[in-house]
Amino acid sequence: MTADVDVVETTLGRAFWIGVGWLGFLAFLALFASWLPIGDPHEIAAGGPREGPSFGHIFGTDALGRDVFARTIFGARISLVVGFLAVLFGMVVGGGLGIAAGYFRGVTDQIISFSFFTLLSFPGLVLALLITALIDRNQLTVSLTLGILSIAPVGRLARANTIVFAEREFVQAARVLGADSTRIITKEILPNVMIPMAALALLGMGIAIVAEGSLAFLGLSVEGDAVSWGKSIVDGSQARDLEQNPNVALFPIFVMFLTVLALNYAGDRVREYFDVRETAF
Amino acid sequence: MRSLLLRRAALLVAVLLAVTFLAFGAMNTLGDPLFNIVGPLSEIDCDAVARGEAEATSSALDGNRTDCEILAGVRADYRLDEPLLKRYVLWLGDAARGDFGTSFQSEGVPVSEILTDKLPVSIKLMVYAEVLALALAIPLGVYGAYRANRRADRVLSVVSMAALAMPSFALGVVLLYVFGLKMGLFPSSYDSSSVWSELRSLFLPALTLGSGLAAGYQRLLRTDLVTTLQEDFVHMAKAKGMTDRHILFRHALRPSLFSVVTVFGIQTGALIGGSLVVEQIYLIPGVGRELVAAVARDDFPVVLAGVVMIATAFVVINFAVDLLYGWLDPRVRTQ
Amino acid sequence: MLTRSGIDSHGVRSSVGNLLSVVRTATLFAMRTLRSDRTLVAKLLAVLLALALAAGACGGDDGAADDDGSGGAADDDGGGEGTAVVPTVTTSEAPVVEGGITPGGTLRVGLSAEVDGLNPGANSLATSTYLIDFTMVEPLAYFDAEGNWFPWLAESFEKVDGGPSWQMTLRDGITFHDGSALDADDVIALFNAQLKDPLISLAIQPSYPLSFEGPAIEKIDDLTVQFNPLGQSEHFPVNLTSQLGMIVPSEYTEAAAQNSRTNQTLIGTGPFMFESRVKDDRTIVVKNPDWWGGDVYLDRIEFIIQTDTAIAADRLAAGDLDVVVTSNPDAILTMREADNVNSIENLLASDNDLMMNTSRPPFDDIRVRQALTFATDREGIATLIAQGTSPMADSMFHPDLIWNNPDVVQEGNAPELAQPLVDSYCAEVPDNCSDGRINVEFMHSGPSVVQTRVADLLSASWSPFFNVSVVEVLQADLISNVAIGEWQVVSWRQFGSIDPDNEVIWLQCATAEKFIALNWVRYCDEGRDELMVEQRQTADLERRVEIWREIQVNMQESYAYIFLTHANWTIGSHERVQNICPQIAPTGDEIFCSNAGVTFFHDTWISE
Repeated sequence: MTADVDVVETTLGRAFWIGVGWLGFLAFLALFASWLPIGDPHEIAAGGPREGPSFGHIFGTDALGRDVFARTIFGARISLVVGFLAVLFGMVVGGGLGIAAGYFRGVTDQIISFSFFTLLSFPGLVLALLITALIDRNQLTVSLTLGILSIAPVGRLARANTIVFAEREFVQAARVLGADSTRIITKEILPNVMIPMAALALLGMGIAIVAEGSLAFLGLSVEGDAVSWGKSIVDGSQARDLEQNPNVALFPIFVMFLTVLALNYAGDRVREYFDVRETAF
Repeated sequence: MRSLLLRRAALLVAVLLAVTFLAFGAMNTLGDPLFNIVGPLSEIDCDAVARGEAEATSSALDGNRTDCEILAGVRADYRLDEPLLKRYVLWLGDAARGDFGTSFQSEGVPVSEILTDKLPVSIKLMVYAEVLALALAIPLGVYGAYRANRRADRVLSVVSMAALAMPSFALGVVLLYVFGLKMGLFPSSYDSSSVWSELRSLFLPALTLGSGLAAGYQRLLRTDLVTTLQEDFVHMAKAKGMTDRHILFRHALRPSLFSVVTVFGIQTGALIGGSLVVEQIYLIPGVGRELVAAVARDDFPVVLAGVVMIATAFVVINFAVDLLYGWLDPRVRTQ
Repeated sequence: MLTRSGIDSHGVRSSVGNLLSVVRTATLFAMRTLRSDRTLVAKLLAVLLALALAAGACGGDDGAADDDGSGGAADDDGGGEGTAVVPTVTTSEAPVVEGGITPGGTLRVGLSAEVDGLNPGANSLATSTYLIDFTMVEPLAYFDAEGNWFPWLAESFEKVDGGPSWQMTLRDGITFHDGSALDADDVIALFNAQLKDPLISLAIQPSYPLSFEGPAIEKIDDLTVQFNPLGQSEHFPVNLTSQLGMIVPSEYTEAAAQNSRTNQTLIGTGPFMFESRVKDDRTIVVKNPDWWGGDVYLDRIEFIIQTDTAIAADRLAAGDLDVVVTSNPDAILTMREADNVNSIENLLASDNDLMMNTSRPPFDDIRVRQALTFATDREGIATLIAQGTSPMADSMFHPDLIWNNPDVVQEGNAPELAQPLVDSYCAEVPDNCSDGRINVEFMHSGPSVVQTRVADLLSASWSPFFNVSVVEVLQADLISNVAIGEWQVVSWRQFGSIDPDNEVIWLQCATAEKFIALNWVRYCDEGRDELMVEQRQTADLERRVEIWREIQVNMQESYAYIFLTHANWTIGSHERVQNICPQIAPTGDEIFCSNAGVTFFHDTWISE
C-alpha cells in the first residue's frame, strides 16, 4: 500500500463545473419549458399509450399517452422549486437560529439546541409524513414541510461555525468594546458561516428533491395534476408498467439521479475546497 | 461517567416528551379528531341550531335526542373542548403504562399489539440492511484506502457517489424490475413461509435500504483509513515486516472506525425513514407501512404510538453510540 | 406504487368495513380510555354505520356480492333481447385432464383486500370476505346458473297465507364444525344480532322498520322460523343469499357479542373449517371430512393478502399462487396473456360511473349536468384506463341482460354540445363561473395510481368548459362525504344486481332527502317511484322488463349519472387448478359461477 496523502485540489475541478452545467441546463429547460418545443405534459393521447422512445416522443409516452419528456421537464419545475425553497427556508430559519444559538450561548443556546435535537429525533420522513397528511398539499406547503426538516441540520452547522468564529479575538474585542451584536453578526459571523451553509445547501437540495419523491411514493406530494418527478416515477412503477414500458419510470429516475449526483458532488467539492468544519464543541 | 449517563438519560426523556407532544399537537390541531370519531355528523352546525337559525335534527335511532346533543356528549366524553395540554397529559399517563389505546380501525385491537406484531419484520429488514451495508462497506473501504488515489479507488469513489445520489425508492423500483420481475431471481413481495424464503424475499429490500448506507460508510472508512495509514505506528509495523493485510485489518482498521460509528447512530434515522418507502415498494407488512397507512386514515393512537416507538429507538441508539464512542476514544470521555 | 396501499382498481371499494371500523373502534377506544356511556356510543354507531351499509350494498370494488340480489326469472323471452342472466364467459379453454380427480393439496388464493373480520353477523362482507366465508358457512339460499334462487341450507321457503310473511324450514341433521346441530335457534340468534347491528340492520330496515309492531322473526319449531317483513315481495328468499342468510352457531354469535376477537374466527356447516388467521397476511381453512354436502377434494385453502393484484397476477403466472380474483385491468391483461392461466371473466357485475350531486350547485342545474356529460371522454376511459378489458356502459344493465333498454345510449365525447350550455348557465349564474367556465370539484378515492390517472383524464376533457379542482380523499371519507351530500361530482361504482329490485333503494325519493341519503345523487322523481313499487309487487316478467326500460330512459333524461364501463371481474386460475366452475351445490343445483368474483371451491381439485 502506498503512503499517498489525499491531495486537496486547488481548484473546484472539472467535474464540479460539469455538474453545475447540468444543473444550469436543466433549470433553463424547466424555466423556459413553455416556450421551447417540449410539448404539453398534460395532453392526453399526445401519442399512443405506453409507447417506447421514438422521434416524436424521445422519452416515449405513459399510460395515458402523455409525453414523458415533457412531463420530466415540467416535473423538474416542481422538484427544483421544492428543493430550492425547502433549502432556502432551512437556511433562513435554521441558519438564523443556529447563529443566534452560537453567538449568544447560554439559555438561548440550550433551548435552541434542544429543539434541534428534538427535530433530529424525528426521522425526517416520519415528520414530513405527519405534516403533509394533515394539510393541503401545494408547492409551497410541501416545500415548507421539507424546509422544516432541514432546520436542524443547517442549524447545527451554523451554530458550530458561529461558535468557532465567535471565539475569535476580533469578535471578542468588538463585544468588549460594546459593538452592537447585530453588526457583529452581520458583518463578521454571517459571511463566514455562509460558506459552509452553502455547501450544505447544495447537498440539502439533493436531499429535498429525493424527499419529494419519497413523499410522492407515499401519496403525499403536491396535489392535483401538477407534475413532479416523484409523481411521474410512481405512475410508472406499477408492476405491469415496469415490465411493458419502463421508460415512464426510468427516464425521470435517470434525470433525478443526475441532478442529485450533481448537487452532491458540488456540495462535496465546495466543502473540501473551503475546508468546512463539521462540528465544534 | 455516571453524571454523563444521567444527563443523557434526562435528555432522552425530555426529547421523548417533546417529540410526542409535537406529534400529539400536530394531529389534534391540524387534524379533526371530531370527524375521526363521529364522521360526517361533525358537519352539523350546532351553533346555528343553538341560535335558532337551523332546525335540530333528531338522531336516527334515538328519537329522544338530537344530533347536537349527541355531538355535545361526544365532545364531553373525549374532552375535545379541553385544552390540548390536558388531553396530552392523559394520553401520556396511559402511554407510560404501556397502554396506547386501541386502533381507530380494526376491531378494538390494542395499538401496542398491532405494532409489536409488525415490529419483527421491520427489525429484520433494518438489521439485514445494516449487515449488508457493513459487509459491502468494510472490505471496499479497506480496498479503497489500500489503493488510494489509484484507479480502483477512483472507480469506487464514483460508484459510491452514484449510490448516494440514487434515491432509495428509485433504486427499489429498478432492483425490483430487474432482479424481481424480469430475471425472477427474487420474489416480488414478502414471503414469510420459511427462513430461507424470508431471507430471499427480504434481500432486495435490504439491499435497497443498505446501499446508501454502504456508500456513506465506505467513503468515511476509506478517508479515515488513509489518514490512519499515515501514522507512525503503521510505518513501524511495515518496517517490522508485518504483512499488509495484517496491518490493515488488525491495526489500522479499529481506530479508523470512529467516523463510521459516529455516523451509525445518525444513519438510523435515515434507515427508519428509508424503511417507510422500501416497505411500501416491496409490500412488507412492517411498522413503517402500518405507520403510513395509519397517518393516511388519521388513526391517532397508532400514529402516536409509532412515533414514540421510532423516536425512542432513535434516541436510545444515539445514546448508545455516544457511550460507545466515549469508550472507544478516551479523549472524548473527559467531555 | 400507490395501489399497494390497498385500493385495487379504480372505483370505490365497498369496504364499508373501513368506515364501520373507524366508528366501531373509535367507540371502543372511548370506552376503554374514558369509560363512556355504551348506549350513547351505540347510537352514534347507528347513524354512521348507515353509511357503511349503504356503501356495502352499493357494490364497490368487491361489493357486488353484497347485494341482496334476487334471482332473475328463468324463463327468458326470445326475440334476441338477452336472457335474464347469462352464464359467465370463459375466455380460455381449460384443457381436459386425463384420468380421474386427484384429491389433496393446498390451494393458494390471492386476495386484493384485507378483511376486518369474518362474522356475517357483525362484519360487512365484501368479495374477499365472501370468498373466505363461503368455504366455511353456507347460505340459506343461493343462485343457480340461470340466476334463480334455490334453497341450500334451507329445505324450503313458503309464503304464509299469501304473504307478506314467509316460513323457512331448515334441513334436518346438519351439524356445525363444533359438533352442535343446526336448528332454528341459530337462525334467530343471527337474525337478531344483525337487527341490532347498526350497520347491517340498515340493509334489513326497509323490510323490518323499527316502528313495526311484532316480532320480525318467530320460531315455529326446531327447524322452522317465520320471517315477518313489512312489505310484499315475490322474491323474499333472495335476501338470504348473502351475509344475511349465512348461518353460524348461536354460541358463536353470542361469543362475538361479548368479545369482538371472535370475529377473527368462523364456525359453520361448510366444506372447509377454520384453521388460522393472521391479519394482513393469510387466512387458512382445512377440509371438513364430515361435510354433509358430499366430497371435498382440497386439503387446505390459503387466502393470501396481496394488495397489488397486478403483482398477484404475476405470481399466479409464476406458479406462486393458484387463484387470483380481481377487477384490475392490468392484472386481467397479465392473466389473459399468460399461457398457463385460465380466466373466467364476468362483465355482469357493477358499473363504473360518475355521479353528480343534484341537490346543490352547480349540478342542481340540468344544463351543467348535461354539459359535463357531453364533455366527458368516455372513450378515453375505456381505451386508456380499462385497456379493453371492459366494454363501455350505456346504462346500469349489461346489453346481454333482459332488463337492458337497447335504445338508451350514454352520451359523451361531444364537447361541441357542451359550450352553449355552459354559456347559458354562466350568463345566469355568474357566481359559479370564472372566465366563462363553471367551477366544479371532482372527488376521488386514493392514494391510487389508477384513480389519479382517471382524474387527470377527466380533468383534461372537462377543462375547456370547467375549472376543475381535484380532491383526493381516503375511501372511507369519500363514502362519508357522498352520503351526507358534501360533494359535487365523484367517480364511483354501482349497480349490477342480478335482479334490479335491489337497485330501488338507490333511486327512491324516500332515500333522497335525508341527512344521510342512500339515493346518492339525491334525485327524486315520483313517477319513477311509482313504477318501482309496481315492479316489486308483480311477478309478471314482461311488465317488470317494461318498467325497468322506462326507468332507464328516465335516468338518462335526469343526467345524474354518467355511465362509463361495465366492470370486469375475473377469476384467474393456474392450469393445475381444475374445476373452478361449475360447482354443484349439495342439492344438485349448479351454482352461479362468478357472482362478481365470488365463487366456491368444494368441487375444485389440483392436478399434478
